[in-house]
Amino acid sequence: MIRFLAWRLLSGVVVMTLVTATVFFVTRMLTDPVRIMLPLSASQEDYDRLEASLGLDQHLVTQFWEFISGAVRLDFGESFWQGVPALEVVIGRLPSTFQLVSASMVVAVVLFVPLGMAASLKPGGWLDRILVSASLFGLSMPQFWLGSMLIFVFSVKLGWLPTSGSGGPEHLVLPAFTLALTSGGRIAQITRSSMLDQLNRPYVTTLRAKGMGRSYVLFRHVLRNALLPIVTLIAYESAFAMAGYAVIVETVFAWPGIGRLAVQAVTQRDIVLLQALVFVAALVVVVVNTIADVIYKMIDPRVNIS
Amino acid sequence: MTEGFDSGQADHQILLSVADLAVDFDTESGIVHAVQDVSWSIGAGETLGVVGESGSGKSVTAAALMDLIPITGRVVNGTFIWHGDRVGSAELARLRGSKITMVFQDPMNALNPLVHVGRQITEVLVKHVNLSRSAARRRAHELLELVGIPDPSRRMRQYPFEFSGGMAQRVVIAMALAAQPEVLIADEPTTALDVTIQAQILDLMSELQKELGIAIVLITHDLGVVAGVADHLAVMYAGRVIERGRSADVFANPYHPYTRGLLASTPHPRDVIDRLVPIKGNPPVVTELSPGCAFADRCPEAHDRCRVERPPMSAVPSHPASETVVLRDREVACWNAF
Repeated sequence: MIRFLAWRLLSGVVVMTLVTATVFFVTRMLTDPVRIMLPLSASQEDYDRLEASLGLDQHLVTQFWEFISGAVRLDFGESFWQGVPALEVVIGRLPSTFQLVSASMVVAVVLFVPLGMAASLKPGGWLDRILVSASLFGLSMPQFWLGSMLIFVFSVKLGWLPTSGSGGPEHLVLPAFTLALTSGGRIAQITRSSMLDQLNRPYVTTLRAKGMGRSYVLFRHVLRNALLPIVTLIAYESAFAMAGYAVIVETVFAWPGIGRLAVQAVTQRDIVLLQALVFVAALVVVVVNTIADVIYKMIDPRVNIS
Repeated sequence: MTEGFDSGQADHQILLSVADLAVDFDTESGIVHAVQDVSWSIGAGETLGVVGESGSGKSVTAAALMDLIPITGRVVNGTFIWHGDRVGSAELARLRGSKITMVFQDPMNALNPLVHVGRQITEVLVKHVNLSRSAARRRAHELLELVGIPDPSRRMRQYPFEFSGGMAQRVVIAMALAAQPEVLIADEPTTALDVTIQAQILDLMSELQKELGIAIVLITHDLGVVAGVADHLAVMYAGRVIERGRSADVFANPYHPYTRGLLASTPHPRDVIDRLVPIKGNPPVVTELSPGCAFADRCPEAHDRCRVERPPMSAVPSHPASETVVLRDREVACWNAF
């Protein structure tokens, strides 16, 4: 386990270095933040002065060296836009995203894993057919549209929930469901196919021949075997949602998470903030994947994570 | 056709009988009659060999008994008799896993890969024998010792993937013996194992049978497997039993041309014969059965009647030279037998 974690730490460092380096160069090559920050009437001297104050006048390699030596100390510099350390801005937004994504995953798991299980027990039955077409519907529905529809029905028409913003738990409901419904379709599908696969395994026949009850076989034996692909998907969905998938939902519902911050950073051409954001997002992905691997090992003794 | 099972095997107490079993399967090409009019019975402590090639319906019979028929199939007819009483599905469900247990073909896949071997045995004890967890663990330990697994305490905490095929089959046997069954159904118990291990497992099963007095239904395609161990044989072809009798009699004087073909195509360690004689052709597709004998198309001795009228199972003398017919002792479904 320790060897595994050490290995994971090492590969995580490599991944994050590559990701942040890519963002560093791409942002500098594709945009000119100085030009955008200045009014159109600004002179060349104004431009030069601002460029020098932001450190953007130096050679790209020098800039990169400064960036890396700062990043090692978790110092990404000050956000152009907000004038405070960029990492602080990102970390300040992280809990909101975390709250949204975990709420939506809980909803997705609680709602859709049992649904997928139930559908797998009678393949081709009415529940199965409804689930297969409904989850396809959920998958193909764009989040911005689904989110807008939910706002229209539950906030505008029924007036049960706030349209957007943050505050109490009532603000969390619609964005969490919007995220959950799209991930949920996939989770239900994977649960169904994984359960179907397991239900046809010989050990299930053995258990039935042993006279073990149906629900005992299902919950004590089959579910655990079916769990690996489900855990993989949940990890993927959460990592993906936290590292950017939530952008749309957070924007639609004006949820103050890192997804919305990313959109703001891009529109403000705040490359320092963007770098810190990407760094944190990559870190989240690495951490979630590591947790998923540890869970695999807990579920399946055959998994060799070292 | 199947009345009075007790008459022929009066010297043994009949434990379990299957009578007139018929199982159908829905397939894309229509309804398949996987098993029809299948009857057999087994006495306490006996071994019944059910022999046939794949698709002959030998496993379906056991599956029907254990309620393991896949959802595409259903039992359309049949009676199960346990200790002389006809049992319905509810009573059968109570016997299943405790009094009637089963050992399967592929031991590595017959065990749940994620659950300790010990728990897969103790759960049977907790369910059927009402033992406490700790008593069940002690009993599982004894069972593993009984089936010849060294160091049971350590082995109980291991997972199936840490076992070899032969050792895993011993675990499956221990599991099947846990609730002290009276009948053990072994469906191709050695097919997935190495040849050397096969003999060990068969020896183990005979030893356990002697020690515990269980009846064994040994389902196999391999006559070599049943040769030494079965008291009675039922030979199946295309979903029907076509010959039945004491194992020694069937081996010495097979009546049915199919049984003869099966024996001729099986290597025998004692008689060094020049060559094995295969049975020509393939088993019929059970959707397109003729009204006659299912074997007629492959049978070297078939005549016109065989193709139009199905021969019923009829009592015959234990061997052709003898004139005494002991009812139910020896039966064959072939027009040429009488």
